[in-house]
Amino acid sequence: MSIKNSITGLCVGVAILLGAAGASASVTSYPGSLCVQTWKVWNTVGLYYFGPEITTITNSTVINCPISQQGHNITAAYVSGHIYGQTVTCSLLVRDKFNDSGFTSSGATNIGVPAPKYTLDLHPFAHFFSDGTKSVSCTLPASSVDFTGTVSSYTITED
Amino acid sequence: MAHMIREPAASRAWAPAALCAVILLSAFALWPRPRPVPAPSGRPSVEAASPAAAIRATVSDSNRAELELLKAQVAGLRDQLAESDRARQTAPAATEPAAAPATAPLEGPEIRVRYDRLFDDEVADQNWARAERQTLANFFDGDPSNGRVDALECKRSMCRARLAFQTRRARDQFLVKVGSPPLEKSSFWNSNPEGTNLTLFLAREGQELPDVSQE
Repeated sequence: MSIKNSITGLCVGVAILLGAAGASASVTSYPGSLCVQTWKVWNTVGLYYFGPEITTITNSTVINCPISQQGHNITAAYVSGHIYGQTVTCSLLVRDKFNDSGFTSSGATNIGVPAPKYTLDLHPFAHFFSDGTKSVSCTLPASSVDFTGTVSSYTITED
Repeated sequence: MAHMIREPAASRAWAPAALCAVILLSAFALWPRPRPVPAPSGRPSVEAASPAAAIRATVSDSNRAELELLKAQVAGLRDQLAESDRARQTAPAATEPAAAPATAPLEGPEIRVRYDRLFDDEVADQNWARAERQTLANFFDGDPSNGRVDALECKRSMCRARLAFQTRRARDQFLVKVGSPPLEKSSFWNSNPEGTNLTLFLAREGQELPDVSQE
């Protein structure tokens, strides 16, 4: 191989590496303790607490887990935790800075996933607002029996 | 079948040499030869005395005319280029903002307009549309906190609901339910700043709302 070819090959390699570094995605993992209950019911629900929490809810309950706004599109999102005897449905929410518009991804559920551990692969969408709010929202249906569960963490990848 | 395309060894050896020879001969024939330079004082050159030289001088005159024409054209093109460069330098603000909106993220009202257009153009899947509309109607009618339903329609890939609320706070209480069954589908909503009117698009189960950022 000539010196010229070697230099050309080296330059191409460096360019590919630089391009890959520039296009690298940002992955952020959040603790489940950041999640808060947004839909008030007379009883508390322990989904967002670590450790066993036994509770009965008489109405469906929504848990909101905030995502720090980095001004980019979400390309992947996962929610992990454990839950006994109950289903949980989670989705991604984005809202514009005026809170006048928003997108919600289709819900991912733990139905069919062996209990108690679950990891939900949330469906990202092409849309985003660069200066609005983003969050993960999880819903628990009403339950007449006691159950326990947690969101231990959620991981967001932005482009 | 391979033997049918095999060539004799001798012809294979001569082929490149023959090709080179043809290229060299063509290049020699077409290579431009130096022309005699006309005398600066208008005095005919030595070669111009012969008939062949007279013909060559005529050709040379016509070439000169063509050259002058080409020179004029080049000068015109240079002027045009300089003019466009000057225009670009003196008015940068006029050209840059025109390119910006293509990449800027869309605002909520514009996204709603695009979904409205998509929805209006869609042909209904009657069976699915009727069943899905009924499910949603039961949900909206079942709780006063879901607002007043001004319009509710399903087509093929999505449903559209136009809802009215007394206050923005009432709208916010309803929005908590978006993402929960039966509103757990991929969705987009947009409301007026007062929060009293809201349009909600819900994708068909198992599908995502189409990307309207590129149109």
